[in-house]
Amino acid sequence: MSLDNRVIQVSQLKVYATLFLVGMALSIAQFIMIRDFTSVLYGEELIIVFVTVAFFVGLSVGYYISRKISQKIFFLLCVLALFLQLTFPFSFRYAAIFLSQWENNLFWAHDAYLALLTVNTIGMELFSPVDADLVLKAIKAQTAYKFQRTLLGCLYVFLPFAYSVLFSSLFAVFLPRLVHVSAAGGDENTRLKLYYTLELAGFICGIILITFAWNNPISAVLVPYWVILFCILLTITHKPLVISVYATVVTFAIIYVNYVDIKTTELIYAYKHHLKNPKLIFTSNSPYQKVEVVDADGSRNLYLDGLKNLDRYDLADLNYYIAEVPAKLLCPKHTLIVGNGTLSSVPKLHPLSATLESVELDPSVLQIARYFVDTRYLKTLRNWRLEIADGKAHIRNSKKIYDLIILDVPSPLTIQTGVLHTVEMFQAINKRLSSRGVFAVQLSGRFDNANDVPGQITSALRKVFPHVVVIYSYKADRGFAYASRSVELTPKRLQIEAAAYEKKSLEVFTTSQIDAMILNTPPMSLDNMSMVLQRGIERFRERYFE
Amino acid sequence: MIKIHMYAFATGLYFALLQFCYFLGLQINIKSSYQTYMTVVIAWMCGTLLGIWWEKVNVLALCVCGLIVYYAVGLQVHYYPYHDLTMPLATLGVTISGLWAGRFFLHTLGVAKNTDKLFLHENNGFIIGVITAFLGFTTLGQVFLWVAPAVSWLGMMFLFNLMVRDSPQSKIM
Repeated sequence: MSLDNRVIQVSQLKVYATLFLVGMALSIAQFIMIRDFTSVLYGEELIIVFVTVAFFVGLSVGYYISRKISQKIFFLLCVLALFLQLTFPFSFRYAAIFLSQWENNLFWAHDAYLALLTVNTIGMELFSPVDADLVLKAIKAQTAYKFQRTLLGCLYVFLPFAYSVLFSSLFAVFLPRLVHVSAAGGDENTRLKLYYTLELAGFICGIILITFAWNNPISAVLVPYWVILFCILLTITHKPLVISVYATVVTFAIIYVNYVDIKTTELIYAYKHHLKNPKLIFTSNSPYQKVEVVDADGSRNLYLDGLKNLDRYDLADLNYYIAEVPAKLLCPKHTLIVGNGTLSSVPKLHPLSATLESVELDPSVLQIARYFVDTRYLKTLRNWRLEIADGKAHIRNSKKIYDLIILDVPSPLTIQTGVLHTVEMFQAINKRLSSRGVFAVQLSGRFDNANDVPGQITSALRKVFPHVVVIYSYKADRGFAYASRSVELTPKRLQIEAAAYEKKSLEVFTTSQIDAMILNTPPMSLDNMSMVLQRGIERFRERYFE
Repeated sequence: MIKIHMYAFATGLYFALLQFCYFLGLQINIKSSYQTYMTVVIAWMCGTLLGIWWEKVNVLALCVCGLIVYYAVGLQVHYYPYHDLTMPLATLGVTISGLWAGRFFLHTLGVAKNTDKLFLHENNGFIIGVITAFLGFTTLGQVFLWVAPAVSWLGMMFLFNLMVRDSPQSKIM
């Protein structure tokens, strides 16, 4: 083989390797960006879609510039982007922390100004007429505050898009550029077939690699990602200085990745979540979400995709009303808990039911059970069984009949959790209940506005169950519903149980009272998931613009 | 050239809607586990890979089959969600629907002449498809899963016909 042919073959192999590695890097970058950015911005479905869109916008930018830049500029941008990639996702977290600090200062200044203005106004009303200048100053300050607030909100929206241009657009440049280069030989069609195949094959391998990293911290996927980026660098340059500097930076990044992950996460919880001295106890990326346990303010908190799921106090209140109260009142023979990944209801329920089954989808959530309950004790329970499965599928496929079914899952802020609160799901649950069986669910809020989430969930329950009782606990600061075909838990019995737990009486709504309140409330169903969108928009607006 | 770009955009929109409708249909009828997500993604990718190399199949047949198979899988999943054959059939269905995703770029390259613009407009259509799928399903529910793929397919085929009519070098075979 001539030297020229050998050179062409080696250079062809480099092109193949580059595209395969780019495909791998693309799938991993997509996973990291969507998972990490969603967690920083709080993981409602709207945010997940928003970050996904930002990622693909970055690809469009890459496709757009792919053949508009010279080879020299392409090489320089590649090397720069590969170095910047090493800061990903931590630099995004730092950017969010910076914005949070600005936001906190803004709130502090605004609150301080309002307090001062109030004192001045009261003083002036008591002793002299209102000063028009002061009123004007107040209006200007309010306007300035609103402007800064809106600007901050826009920056939060802009940030994922800016990052996607930096981080995902790089990968989109390679394929169209390499297909176009005629020096590679063959016609463009042939090159597109081969190169696209290689990129896709790399993408599939990247997905498989991600599955091996599940139920581990982000470092499990970041380290191979950086190694892949280093390999991409090797395929595009031979410059020893660039390669050695990159290798050194990658080495240090790998050494310190866990430390930086923990520190940036704790800063996020300090500045964005306003926790005092937060300490990250556990972090893991499950196939479904980011699971974090944070100790702060003397409490242990569970966060799922950056959204607070519960703390130690919530847990006790939630378990009491969703599990203990119905179990005490019913004395069930067979009980099923769907969710309750912390397994904290199990020690309370196992003495109250002859058999107890738990079904939880997310293995990472089960990993954190040890931080909330004594798992060694759970292993000794003979009447308890745990299954890792989709609760919906378990209920539909099961032939067993239960006296008590408890749905202890996160609020319906995503399509996946929304489906668990629909008429269709409740119909499936109803089929698994005994004639005197009761279904218990928490309502993700107070049942006082029929058009909000608690109203739609309650409306869905009424579509299925003839008897529905809703309570609101001031201690738990949320509503709970107990639904049944034949049993209606009476307000008196519920108040007796509540009196043993908290000082203030419950608000109790019987079936007839509920019917009057939810007259025109559409039930949550597979044909009505608008609450997922509506709550996502409301929370995003409240969080970043109000 | 604008028609090619519009056609690429419409195709990207169709791909996004089809993928998300497959995923949502499987998720709400069967199970929400990660296996469902992986099934859709990897089966689609495998279909795309196969579509890139399987040149003998008629392009129109690929387009039509991809949509028909979606509705066949939809019916199977709706009426027999927990039958032993449902997931394997769904996997096969997604793979068949993905064939066109691989073939599309090769089929259109001869007319578009630029891979970058082809990928750009297809990706832009995909982005709009992602947003449409989310908004559509949350506001319209299951009706969206039945209607959206067909409507987007019709839009894609309309623009495909315009492209074929105006570009003699574009091949249907």
